[in-house]
Amino acid sequence: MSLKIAVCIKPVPDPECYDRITIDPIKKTLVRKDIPSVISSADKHALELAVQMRERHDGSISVFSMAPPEARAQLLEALAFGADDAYLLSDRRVGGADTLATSYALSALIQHVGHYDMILLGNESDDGATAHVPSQLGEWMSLPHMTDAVGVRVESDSAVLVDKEFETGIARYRVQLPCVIAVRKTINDVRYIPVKNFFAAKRKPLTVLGADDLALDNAYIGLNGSPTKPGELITPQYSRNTVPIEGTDEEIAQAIIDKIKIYM
Amino acid sequence: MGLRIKSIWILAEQCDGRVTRVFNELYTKAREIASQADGCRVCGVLLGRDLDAFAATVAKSGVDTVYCVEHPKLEAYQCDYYVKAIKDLVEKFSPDALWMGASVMGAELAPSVAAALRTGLAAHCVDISVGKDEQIAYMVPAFGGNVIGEILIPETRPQMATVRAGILDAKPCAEDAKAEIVRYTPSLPDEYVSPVELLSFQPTESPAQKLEDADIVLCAGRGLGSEAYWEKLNLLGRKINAAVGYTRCVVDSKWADTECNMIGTSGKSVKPKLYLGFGVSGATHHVCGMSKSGTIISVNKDSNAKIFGISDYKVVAKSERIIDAMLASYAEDKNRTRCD
Repeated sequence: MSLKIAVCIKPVPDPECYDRITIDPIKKTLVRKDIPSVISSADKHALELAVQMRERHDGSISVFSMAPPEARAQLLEALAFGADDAYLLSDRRVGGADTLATSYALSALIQHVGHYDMILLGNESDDGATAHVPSQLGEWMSLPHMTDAVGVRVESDSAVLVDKEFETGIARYRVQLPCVIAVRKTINDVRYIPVKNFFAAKRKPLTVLGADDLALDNAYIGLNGSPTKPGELITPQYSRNTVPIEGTDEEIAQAIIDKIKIYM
Repeated sequence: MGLRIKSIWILAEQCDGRVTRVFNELYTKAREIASQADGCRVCGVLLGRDLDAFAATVAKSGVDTVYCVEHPKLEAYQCDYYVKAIKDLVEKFSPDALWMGASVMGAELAPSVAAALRTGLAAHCVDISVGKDEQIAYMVPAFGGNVIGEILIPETRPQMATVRAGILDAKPCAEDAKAEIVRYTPSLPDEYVSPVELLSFQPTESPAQKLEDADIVLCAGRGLGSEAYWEKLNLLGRKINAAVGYTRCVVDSKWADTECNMIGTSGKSVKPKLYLGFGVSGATHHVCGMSKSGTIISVNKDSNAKIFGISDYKVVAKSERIIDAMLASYAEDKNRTRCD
């Protein structure tokens, strides 16, 4: 069988730099200059899953994103990873969106482009980490959806088997296609992309669309379509008065053991 | 004018017949918020079948009302059935707020319900309070916990929120509390067959000591150096009956094959009496998950490690040497523990 797979990716500031993010005390906004953007890490595992499934079952992979125009760089990377085509919704009218409005716009983008058997995403993004979009995308599209997938296998042309990791164990489900699946990073290892793939990627179709290209309901997009509103931002400070424990390895070990005894 | 909120609902999940700890944490917070509004009720919501016994347990927590949403199709968690049932209940009774623990179930169910109801949801809140303009302010972490943002949900109802276990404090409940029980049967017609079917469940071996309940938590970081010392740390944990948690690096290095005991913003939050970290650098996304620990002792060979800033005791040394010295010490008589 041939699978049409969609993967949603989110460009985020590089998580390696998060400990450097500060808040402008006057403007009360985030200061994230000089922090480069990357594809959110869990989304790469979704891309890896898509590529593995295409290797096994044949088909195609389309990548989707809703982001500012600079996100072309991350879409190019996804094409270099192995996607066949890419679609970017970039428009101020959809900007400032919370997860409900973002997932609505993404659903409109995907449905505008075509029908897909499976829509894959990372469970949560590195920056916001709400883990909302996969479930909300499924709801907007009236498709079955499942998060926390640690295994996905095609069973037939109408269903997949999904292993979902709960706290106490792993549940296996049969999910009818088409469906939305969000993956945990432990599902697979992300492959290395050879540099030559980037040259080939430039020849693959990358389409940038605006809000006017899609049939969007204004009530559901952007700030208007976002029931959650952001307020104050703070950078939390954690600090304690620290006492060193010094000495030989044995002395240090004994000092720690003595403290453990208090709590045992 | 005061806080205008008439009801806060909290979804109750069971574990071995008892309500999960996050329910009590949410209940304590809900009562604190409700006390700032006139006549605001705090209610528990249960989904499943044969809920009498569980309802009686939840009633003791101090809630004013327990909503028992019963239907055979709700016996085991199934997202689409649960969303429909909660949507029905919400449309009938119009709560002002609906909160859930951010368990694996809650973290999937909450956004699904929020989308079905077209309402706002604040995820993984680290605090909830009454902000200015007498609105509930939900504090949520971003950028690995380096930024905490305030989320308001001014217009849509119910306001929804999820909170991880171990973040909020729970007050002990008065065991003699009573509650009104309201039974509700949602409309889940036989003709609707879910496109999702549960086939099997494979329990994972539960660790000897549950991370969230442990008085002592050992934490492994990248600085442990090798899988051999990851094994030794686990041995140490068994010796002293401590739970063993770890940072994201340990998952990435594949010493641990699951995220289940990962401590941090995308893992678990712990506040044990004693946290003992080995080779943990102290990146914010980890610190957010353990900063409320009682006593924090950190071992790291890097004297500039960030973790030392939030530790009560610091040991600048190679983790491997200290672990070996501790294991050697426990092997001798003088430190024989109750676990031997």
